[in-house]
Order: sequence, then structure tokens, then C-alpha cells
Amino acid sequence: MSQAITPATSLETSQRGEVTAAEWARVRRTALLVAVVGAAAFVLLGLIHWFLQRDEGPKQLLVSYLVGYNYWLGSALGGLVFLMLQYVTGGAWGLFLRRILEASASMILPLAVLFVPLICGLPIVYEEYGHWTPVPTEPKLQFKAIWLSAPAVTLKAILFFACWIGLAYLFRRWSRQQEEGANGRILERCETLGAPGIVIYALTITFASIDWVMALEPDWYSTIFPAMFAVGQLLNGYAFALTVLLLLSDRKPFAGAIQPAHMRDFGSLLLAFVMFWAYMSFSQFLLIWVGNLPEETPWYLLRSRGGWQYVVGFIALFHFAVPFMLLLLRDIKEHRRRLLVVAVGLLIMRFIDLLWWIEPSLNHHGQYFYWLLDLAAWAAIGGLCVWWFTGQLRGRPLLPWNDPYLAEVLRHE
Amino acid sequence: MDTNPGLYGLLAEFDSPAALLQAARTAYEAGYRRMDAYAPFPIEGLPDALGFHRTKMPLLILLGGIVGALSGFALQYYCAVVSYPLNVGGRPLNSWPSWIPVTFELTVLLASLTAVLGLLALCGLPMPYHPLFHVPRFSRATRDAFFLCIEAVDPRFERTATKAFLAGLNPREVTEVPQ
Repeated sequence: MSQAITPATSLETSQRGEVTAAEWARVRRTALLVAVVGAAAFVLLGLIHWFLQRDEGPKQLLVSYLVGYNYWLGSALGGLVFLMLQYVTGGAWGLFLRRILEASASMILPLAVLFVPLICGLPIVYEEYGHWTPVPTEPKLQFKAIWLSAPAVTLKAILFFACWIGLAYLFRRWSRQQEEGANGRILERCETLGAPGIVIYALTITFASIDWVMALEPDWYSTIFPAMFAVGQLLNGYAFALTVLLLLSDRKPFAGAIQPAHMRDFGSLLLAFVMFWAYMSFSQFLLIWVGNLPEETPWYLLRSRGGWQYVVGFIALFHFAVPFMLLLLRDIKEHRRRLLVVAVGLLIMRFIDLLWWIEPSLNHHGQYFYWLLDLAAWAAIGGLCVWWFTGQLRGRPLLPWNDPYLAEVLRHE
Repeated sequence: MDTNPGLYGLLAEFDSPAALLQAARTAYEAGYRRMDAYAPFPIEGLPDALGFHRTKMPLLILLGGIVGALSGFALQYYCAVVSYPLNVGGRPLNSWPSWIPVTFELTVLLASLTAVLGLLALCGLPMPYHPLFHVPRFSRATRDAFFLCIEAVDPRFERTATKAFLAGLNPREVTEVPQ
């Protein structure tokens, strides 16, 4: 291809040593502080909101919690999928990201605990489940009424979390074994589990996204929704891991090891998932718009009125058009800070996209300050998740030194 | 050119990619610019060592993509709105969402066609004749030999001095390449 390679001076600036224990401790303290402040703000704002709107109060609280929760679930599960993906595909990018992705995937454990409030609140959040009592006569709806009943949703959630925690646990356990002794079979084992693991994720997230998000409007259904939801999680998980890697990239052992060619790979992968997200999101819209069926269109009608039309425009612009154009440029991809800005921008857009999916299912009676509740829930759950994440990341080598391919990746200078 | 009649350049052959890389760096430092390296596979860092500049390809491909997008959309707009307006299920004539797939496809098509044809054009391909073909051993550039050629058009080129310079880089041999 074209031969334009300029030496990436951006990477060599200010190389510093490894992240010290004191620095990790400071980051973890800050994360906990954010969690506490977020939780306090959530409770305070929630009480005010409950006082102002007695009927919708508790539901709004749980739906806001759902927005924040889904964001971090995306970071964790997206991390898990990319962890499996890099074992299956191989490549230098995966070796640099592996430890970070393992720590991301481990966030599924605190998130499983944090799912309890949603299970307890099932009858409140998904109150439309109830509007099928007495049980409808049409067979299709009869099945739906049972499938989306509280006991069924709870049982399925337990199964999903068991799968995700099991996968995250196995990969972490094996990578620890690889770290302790150089057993060549370990990598083979990870590669063997990676492929079926991705299939397991695809199946579980399909049903989970239907139960937890699509069922907020139980009359509405879209067969492409789970795929769109999953791609959102992948983008979220990758952008999160990439942000952490870029923040650490001027420190040992990443400093000097990450070459401009690797940076281009990281940027191009981000571009691929921005396009994949846009493809899925637009496909759902196109099919529903062309079909123009009364049972399908309300989802978009709700989300393009009453101020939401501006949110849609903002998402189209900053979740697709702008990052798409920026990530085409080599000058962005090879430059640490610029790529970091794009990745963080996409993380913010993931939150807005989730908010746009979930919040319009509620009637807000012309009030708008619920987004503060969403933000507080995001901060509370996120602070806790990041605290857990950094706890997993510190104290371990950030590169898989016993991986047989690492030497090859680090060899050139 | 006049000082070196009939000469295309001087070709040095090396045994390993590392030796070629080192030679290219040294030649660049010595001030040579009009030179090229030939190897059976891509060598990391070699374009940098030769001082390759950025090409116009990305801009051309972007322009190809924009032309593709505009023409794809315009084609459908003309058919559905201007030339043969038809009411389909009460949808507006300008049903832009359903035009996005074709617009996207044409964007990709024209961008990639520009990439392939533009690459061939900028590289001057197809090229049935090249002076380097005079050197019999040059055919090994596609198998197991690594070459660095300093061309006679380089302002610093001087038959004897450049030959001595290349000989000092520890090559297998240095050959004169006729026009």
C-alpha cells in the first residue's frame, strides 16, 4: 500500500516507569469516592424525584439504575468478548490488551451482585408484564407472558451470569497458570474455549437484552435489537479497554513497546466497531421505517419527539459521523492523546445511546432532570466497577510475559 | 545525467534485510535521495529509512468515495423524485432511509476502484521495461536477494564516488545499471 510512515514521536515523549502501588491506591481511592458521591446523589435525587412524582418515582429510580448498570455491563461483557476474540484471532493488539481485558471481564462479578436491585424491582420496572393478567388467550402472547414473568426472568438471569462468570473465571485462571509456569498447552486451551465462548455470549446476550431492555416496551419487538445491543456492548468494552491502555501507554512496560503500527491497528479496530454499530443501528431503523407497521413504529416515534429528535441527531453526528471521519486519519490513530480523546468521546456516546434506548420507555410528564439520576447511577456503579477493575489490574504484570508470541511482538527494537 | 551518459544508477546487493536496512539508512544520511530498495518481502522500517514521503492516495480515495456517495444518492433521487415519481405505501417520494444502502455501496465501490486504479497509475504500472532488468541477478529480488539502487539522477550521484560509497557498505557486489 502507500508508504507514508512518519516516525511517531508522540509515543516516545515522556516515558515513565511502571505504575507504582501508591498510584494504584490513589486511583482506587478516587474510584471509591466517585462511587460514594454517586450513590449519595442517586439517593438524594431519587427521594426528591419520588416526592415530586409519587406514581412514577420508584420506577424512574430503577430505570435510571438500569441505564447506569447497562453501561458497565457493556464494559465488562465487551471486555470478555474481546478477550476471547484476541485468543481466537491472535495478533499483537491482543497481547497488549489481554491483561486489561481480563480485568474488564472480571467486573462481571460485582455486576452480578449489583443486579440484585433490578431483580427485586422486576415487577416495578417491567410493570407492563402485569398487563397480561388474566393470561391472554392467544398462544403467542401466552408464551410471552410466561417467558417474561418474574420467576422466568430471574432464572434466566442466574443462568446468564453463571455463563459469564464461568468464562471470565476460566480465562483468568489459565492466564495465571501461564504466568506462573510457561506451559505451552495453556494458550491452546484458551484458544479452544474462545470460539465456543463467543457463541455462548451471542446466545446469552440475545435473551438477556430481550428480558432486560427490550421488555421495557413488551408490545414492541425487533429481531435485530439483540445484535444492535451486543455491538453496543462490544464497542463499549473495546473503547474502555483501549482508553485504559492509552492512559498506561507512556508507562512501563507499554512505553517503547507499542509501535505506530500497533497504534494504527488499535485505531482501525475502533473504526471497525464504530461502523459496525452504525450498521446495526441504521439497519433496525431502516427495516422498521420501510415496514411501517403499527406495532413496530412506536419505538422510533417515541424516540424522535419531545426533544429526543435532537438526541438522535447528536448520536448520529458524534457516535458515527465525527469519529468515523477522525479514525480514517493516520495522524489521529498514531497519536496517543488524539486517539484517547476519540475513545473517551465514544464512551460518552455509549452512555447517551443507552439513555436514548431506555429512558423514552417512561412517561416523564415533561420533566427532564431524570438524566441527572442516570448520571448518578452511572457514577455509583462505575466507581465500584473501576475500583474492582484496578484491584484486578494492579500487582500483576501488565504484559503476558510467558506467552510464546510476546517475544516476537516486542522484538523490533 | 550528462555526466553519466547511459547510466541509470548503481545497484548494490545485500545478503539480509538487516544489511539492506542499514545500507538505506547510511545512504540517506550521506545525502542520497533518489534511490529505491528492492526486497522479496516488506521490511519494517525500510520506507522510513529511504525517507518515503506521504502519497496523494488517501486524498484520491476520499474524493472517489465522496463522488460515489453523491452519485449513488443522486441516481436514486432522480429516479424516484424527478423522472418517475411513484407513491409507494404513502411514503414520501424522497425516501432517503431506503437509499442509504445503495449510496453506501457506491461509496465503497468508487473508493476502492480509485484505490486500485490510482495505485497502478501513481506507480506507473504496468511497466514492461525497467533498466534494472539489465542486471541478471536482479530477478532474485523476488526470491532471496536484497538490493539498493542509487539512481544517476540524484544530485549527489557521481559514478566513482558513489560506487566507492556503496562498496563501503559491505555489499555482495555493486553493479552499474545501464539506461
